[in-house]
Amino acid sequence: MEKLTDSQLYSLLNSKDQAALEELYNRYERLLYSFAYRMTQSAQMAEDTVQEVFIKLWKEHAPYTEDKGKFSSWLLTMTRNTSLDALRKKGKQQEVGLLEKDSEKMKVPIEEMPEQMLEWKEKGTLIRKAINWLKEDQRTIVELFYFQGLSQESISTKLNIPLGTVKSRIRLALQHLRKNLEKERGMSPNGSSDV
Amino acid sequence: MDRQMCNELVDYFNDQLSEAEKHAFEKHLATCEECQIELAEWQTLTNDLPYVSSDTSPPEGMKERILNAVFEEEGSKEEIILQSVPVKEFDSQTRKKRVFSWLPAVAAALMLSIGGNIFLASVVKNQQEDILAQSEVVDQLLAYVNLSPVEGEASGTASIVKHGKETRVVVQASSLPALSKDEVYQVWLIDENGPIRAGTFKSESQEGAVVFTLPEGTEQDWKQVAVSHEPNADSPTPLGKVLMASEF
Repeated sequence: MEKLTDSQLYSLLNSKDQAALEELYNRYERLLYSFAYRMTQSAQMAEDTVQEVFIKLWKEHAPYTEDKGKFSSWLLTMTRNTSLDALRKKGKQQEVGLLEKDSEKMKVPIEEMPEQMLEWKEKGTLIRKAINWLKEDQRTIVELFYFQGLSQESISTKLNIPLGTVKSRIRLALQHLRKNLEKERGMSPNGSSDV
Repeated sequence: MDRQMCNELVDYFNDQLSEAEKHAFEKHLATCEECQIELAEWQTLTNDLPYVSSDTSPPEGMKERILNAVFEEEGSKEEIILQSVPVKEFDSQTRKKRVFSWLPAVAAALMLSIGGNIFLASVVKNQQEDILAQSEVVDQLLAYVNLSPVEGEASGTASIVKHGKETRVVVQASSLPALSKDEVYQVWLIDENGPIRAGTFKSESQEGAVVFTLPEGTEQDWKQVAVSHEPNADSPTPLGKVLMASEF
């Protein structure tokens, strides 16, 4: 089981292989939980979200194919959508400033880290730096748009900007983020980019 | 190009659209190259954002809870909260062949996974529908009736349940009269040949439940079920007052 790729494990779910699901769970528990916690700021909602994601994987057999990109990205997108759903149901809104609360520190010693956590650590370092380079208002818009999943209208109200400019501002912020990431990658010893 | 529609991309990405709006946007998306490019770009650009999350330790026992929930989604098992069952005592001096099976006496909000051999009845007033629903999960429900008061104010429900090869009678009652020493509440099943004992119970709280397994070969058509207030737990025929009863 440990040697199989995520995609291979995923395809075993078709035949209701419980060990395959457990292996996927082991690989992604911490990342998905941490991300769901980052989104919802609630241990209970984060746990519910992770549970919902794995139920979707198992029961509905949420359709993943390799042309949808990396399995991990697809799983994280599903986690984001499920978190946003939970937030909407609760009517809960976050007041978390991006980066203020995002710590670099990993709780698992590096030699014990599974592959997924190494990727997390590496990408986390880069993306945090890239976000740091953003101007304050761009950071805020990334927070409201991506992590809080707000509607155009809510973003427009919160930031006191015209509704018609929300989309272009998001686009601009994301593009700056990408440029910053590329700069960071260029400076990092790994150098490679999959964005 | 429909600029207004293009702006919906934000709400589409964040799943903020109603079904109808979503449908309309997808129709637009299919023909708007600009939106297609932008959506793909946003998806790529946000790919790494989840990795800013700080490493957060999941709560203890989360893995077990989640995997249990996931595998139980298969429908083979159902979780039901067993309410506190206020039956405090029971009398085992009954006929040899009769087997009494009692709900746990002090099972305060126990989480039990059923699907095995345990039949659960939640014994709380006004939860007759729950009982019905729970019975259906585990067993085949042969009969279900509300017991009407005959003497006094007692009321309750009775059901006959096929559980594998066994046939069980489940009675729950409330507003029962108080018992004095040796007195018991007795459930009777009645057919053309008269009543047979189908479970004895005592309760200090004037509420109670009994699950009684009928001896094999006694699955005849019962006409009536009754609960009486008996002076003791030994009599093969009713001696005391009938508290409540119902036809099947």
